[in-house]
This record gives sequence, structure tokens and C-alpha cells, in this order.
Amino acid sequence: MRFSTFIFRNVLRRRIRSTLTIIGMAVAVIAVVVLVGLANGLSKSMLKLYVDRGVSLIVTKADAVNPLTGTLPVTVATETEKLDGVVATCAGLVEFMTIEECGSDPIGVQGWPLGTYMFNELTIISGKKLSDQNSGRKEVVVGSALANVKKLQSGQTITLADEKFYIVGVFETSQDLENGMVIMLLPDAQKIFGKTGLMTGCTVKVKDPSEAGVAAVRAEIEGPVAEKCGLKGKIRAKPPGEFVKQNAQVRLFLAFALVVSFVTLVISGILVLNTMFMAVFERTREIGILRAIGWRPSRVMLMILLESILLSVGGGIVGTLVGLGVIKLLGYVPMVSGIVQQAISVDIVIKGFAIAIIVGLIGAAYPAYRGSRLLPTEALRHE
Amino acid sequence: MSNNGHHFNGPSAESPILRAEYVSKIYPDGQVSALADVSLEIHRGEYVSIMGPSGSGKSTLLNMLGMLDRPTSGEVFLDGQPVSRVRNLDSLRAQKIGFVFQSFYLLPVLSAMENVQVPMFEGNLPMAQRPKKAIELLELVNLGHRMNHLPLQLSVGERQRVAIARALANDPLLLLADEPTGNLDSKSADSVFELIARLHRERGMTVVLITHSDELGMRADRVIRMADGRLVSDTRISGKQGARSNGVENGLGQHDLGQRDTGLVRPTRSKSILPPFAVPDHG
Repeated sequence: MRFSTFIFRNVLRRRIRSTLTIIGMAVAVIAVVVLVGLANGLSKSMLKLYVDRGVSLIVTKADAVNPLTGTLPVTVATETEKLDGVVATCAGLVEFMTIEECGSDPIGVQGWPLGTYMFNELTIISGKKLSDQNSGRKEVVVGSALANVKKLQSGQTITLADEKFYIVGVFETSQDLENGMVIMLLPDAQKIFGKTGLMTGCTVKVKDPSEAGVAAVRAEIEGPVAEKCGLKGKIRAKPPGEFVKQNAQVRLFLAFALVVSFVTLVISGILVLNTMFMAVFERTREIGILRAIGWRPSRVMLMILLESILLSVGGGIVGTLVGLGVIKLLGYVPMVSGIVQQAISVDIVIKGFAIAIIVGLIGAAYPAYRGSRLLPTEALRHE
Repeated sequence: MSNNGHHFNGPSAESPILRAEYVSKIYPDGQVSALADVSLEIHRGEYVSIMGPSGSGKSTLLNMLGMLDRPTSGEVFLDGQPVSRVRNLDSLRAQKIGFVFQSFYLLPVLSAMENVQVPMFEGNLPMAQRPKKAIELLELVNLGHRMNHLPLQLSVGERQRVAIARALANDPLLLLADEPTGNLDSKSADSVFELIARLHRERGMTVVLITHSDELGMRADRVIRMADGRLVSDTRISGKQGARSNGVENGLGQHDLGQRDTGLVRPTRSKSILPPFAVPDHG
């Protein structure tokens, strides 16, 4: 008989208790996998949005807690584009709003100027591109994920902020976030958001993407360009990594994810502690026997720790599978569907498992210590 | 450490396998003197029963002899070595001592065969050879046909026989049994006692057992009586040596148990119960 056989049997003998402990552990792992996964997915997706397009700087309003809510005049973009070190800029106006035909899910709506490099990443899979040949009709293209989930197709009309928009095409891109969005031309966006002449920010492509080259352009934007636009000290130009890391939404989401995960992990740790204490207590005499027939205290300790690890690994497996299932389901929610692809990673699965095992070990440490300290004569007397 | 590579093959009459010198045990709660200056020697191949009323210190003495506990004062020597100098009593117990308890204490989740293997985790036998050894031991206790049964699927007598097989797992020097038949009906008790006697007889196993029953206790070679934590008598039962040398190598088993189970031999005529063992027409 292997030692592992013995461990398995011990865990199986209290099926209901073991199952409940595994479920408790699984809930914690689900929290970690789903929440931390989504938080990481969000920042990764955002980063990809810029990195894939070769964007070196993102210009937004300095004092806006959430860069998506602050606005700058479009002149900042045009002035920036005049700089020597700059290849191109793209002003963007972003807002989350509901589409009347699509229920109450908030959906990202972006406006870009016609012909900007931001459009290059979009592949039209049905219909056609946005253009200014639209005879006064307001037009949009919708992302493939959004189109799938909300059953939208080119030729249809949707209502955004009481305005009718004609879907000219459905696009697909490697950008998961954008696949869940509606994209229109900047002037239309400015009009329906009531932000004429404004943008949320702009992306900047530079000639010299080295650290020094980017830093030089950054200094020019935050200094002379800002001054020229009468916004001295009110503009920030950040590289994508920094921009995403300091993004309030990302940080808030991550903080929330970590707090919820931490709380569930503490609870599951206590659950394991309780389970293993019960196991040691009700098996006091049995441990006495094992000691009497020559088991060293370290082997008793190993037995209890391994039983706990077995429960934890069980919880880790269940939690990871359910967590991945939950993430998959979240793919049907347009608001988060864009970050789901990036949320599933080997990294988060390994983390979920590692955390489960660590929590299991911590929870079992004291019971294992107590069990190993039992004196055979005392334990044998225990009723 | 404990056994410095000693080999304990065959009896050597001169040195006692176990020696207690002025062993006392005082439990902190109530300052009860559970054992008071007990001295005794147990030699290889002896079959000793310890008898006495409840609270006379029998179990405490067995705990000291079995290295389960250390005396408050005095010294126990195992094969000439003072136990107080041994730091790791666990491995000493694992290697040298087989315990049998009144309530069997088999692990309920393990089959008979697996239960027998539990002490082997601390033994020297490689993993691959353990099942074979367990089978041998179960066959020795006539449970070859019940190897894969869980304790609850076995009768109480069978459970105690599994426990005895388990006690033998690491080929101990000594078999210590604390009221091994205390929870058994008389028929099962008889077969368990017969098994122990056979181990003694055939394998030269040194046996120390505690019993309440005069009848069963008197089957030993030597009877130690205790009262109030002291030895009150130490009697060698005459005529037993002959019985022992009468032992056969492997041939007992069913025959003996069969004879025993006839119920012909019950009351206190202990001598008549033991020998002669019918030696069957065997190899």
C-alpha cells in the first residue's frame, strides 16, 4: 500500500465534509480565477489596443481620475501631429452607452477621424468600411463579438442617444476590446455625446520609438503643445504600459478583485483549518495507534498535511474548471466580452492552484502540528 | 541509534531481552503512583502474562516495557541498552515491538491487508515487497481468505487476528498485548490466545500480555501478578518448557484452532488445554 492510498482513503471516509471543504476551496479559487483573471485581462486587452498599433504615447487630460471621462480639445491632437518626432496622431472619443435595440448592457462607442491609422487594424467581414460618402446618413461599424451576441448585421439600424445609425459593416480585429464596440466617425460621436470639438484623448505614433525618443516627444507634448493649447500642466502623455497601469478602471477592478479574492481565501483557509482540526480530533485515538506502532510525529504531520493538500487540489481543480466556465459565460456579456480572451491564461490557472495549495497548507499547519504532538499513551486513552 | 545493527536471532539465555530496574511512574494528575519500583527481567522466547485487578499498574508497566512512555524513575533496558538514552523511541517501537490492543484499533478505511502494511511505512521493507509480507502474515493468522475485507466486514475475533498480523509487520522482537481478548467472546478469545501461543511456540516470539482472565493468563510460561503498582508474585508455570519444545514448524493452523473450537476445553484446567498439540500428518 502506498502512502498516497492511505491519504486518499482518509479523505474519502468523510465524504460530505470533504466535499464541502472542496467546494469552499473551489469558491475561493473561482474568485481568484475569474476576478483576478478579468482584471488582468482588462489591462492586457487595453495594452494590446495600443501596442499592436505601434502607439507610443497616449495623450489625455491630466486631472481626470478616469481618462475616459476627461476631454481635451481636438487641437491638442493636431498640434501634436505638427511635432517633428511624431508620425501621426489619432483623436478618439469614447463613451459607454446603451443601444436601444440591444437591452441595457452598456456598450463602448468610439469615434475616430476618417482615414486614421486606427482603422487599419479593423478587417471588415461583412458590409463595407466607414466613409464620408453617406449622403447625410449616420453610419457605424460594429465589432464581430458585439454583432454575434446582439445579433446585429450590416444593413440594420440601431439607436444611440436617440439618433438612428445605419450599420454599414461588421469588423473583426485582434483587439478583443474593440470587437465588442461600435465605431463611428469622430464628428458623429462628438455630436451625439454633446462634445463638439472635443476628444477623450489621442494616440501618438513617433518616429523614434526608443525610450529616449518617446521621452522627448512626451516632454514636447506636456510642455510646448500644452502651452500652445492653453492647457499648461493639464495634459499627460503616457506610454501605453504606464497609461494602462495607472488607469483608474484597471486599478479599481484589480483592487476589487484582490480584496474579494483575499476574503474568500481567508474564509476557505479557516474552512480547511476547521476540517483538519475535526479530522485530527476525531482520529486522536487512531493517531495514538499510529504513534504506538512506531510512526514518527513527522509522518503523522505529513499525513495531515497531505490530506489537506488533497482537498486543496480538489478545490483547485473544481474551482479552476468552474472559474473558466464562468469566464466563458461572461463572453456573452458585451461589456466584458472583450477582456475575456485575455483573462484565460495558464498563469492564472497556476496561480489558482498554487493559492489553493498554500491556503490548504496554512490551514492544516496547526492541526498537523497538534496531531503530531499527541503522545501515544494520551491519544490511546482518548475516547 | 537504537539498534546499532544488532541482530536478534534465536534465544541467548544469558541476557534478558527486557529488563526493568526500579521502574516507577507517577502521573502528574493527583500524584498517583501507578508503578512503584518494579524490577523484572524478560528473556528471549518467554511467554509472560501480567495479571492483576484494574488499576494495579499492568497497563502502565506494559507502556514502559513497550517504550510508549518513559518512567518517572528507574530504567528499562531493551536488549541490554538503556531506553532512557534512546532519543527516538518511535523507531525503536517500529522495529522491535509489536503491539496488540484490547480494541484492535484497526484503521476502518483500510482492508485487512492494508492495515497490516501500516507499520511497514516505518520499517525497512521496500514498498514492492510489503503486500507479499502482509499476505504471509495474514496467512499466518489464518486470514488468507479475508485479506481484502474491511475491518467492519470481519468478526471481532478476525479483527484481533488482523491486529496481531499488523503487530508482526516489522518482525518485532517482542509482542506486547494489552487485554487482547477483553472485547472478545470466549470462543474468539480462545482462538486469539491460541494464535499468540502458537507464535510463541513456533516462532520463538517473546510475548508479554495483560489479561484479566485467570484461565487465559495461566497458559503462559510465567505469570506476574500485580497490585497497587507493585509486583506481588512472579511464577513460572512448570511443564511449559516441554510444551514449547514440542512446537512444530508450520503445521498448526487450522488443526489446532479446529481442536480448540470444539469447546471441549474450557474451564480452568489450563495445563490440559495447552499441550499436547496434535501434530498432524504434515510435511
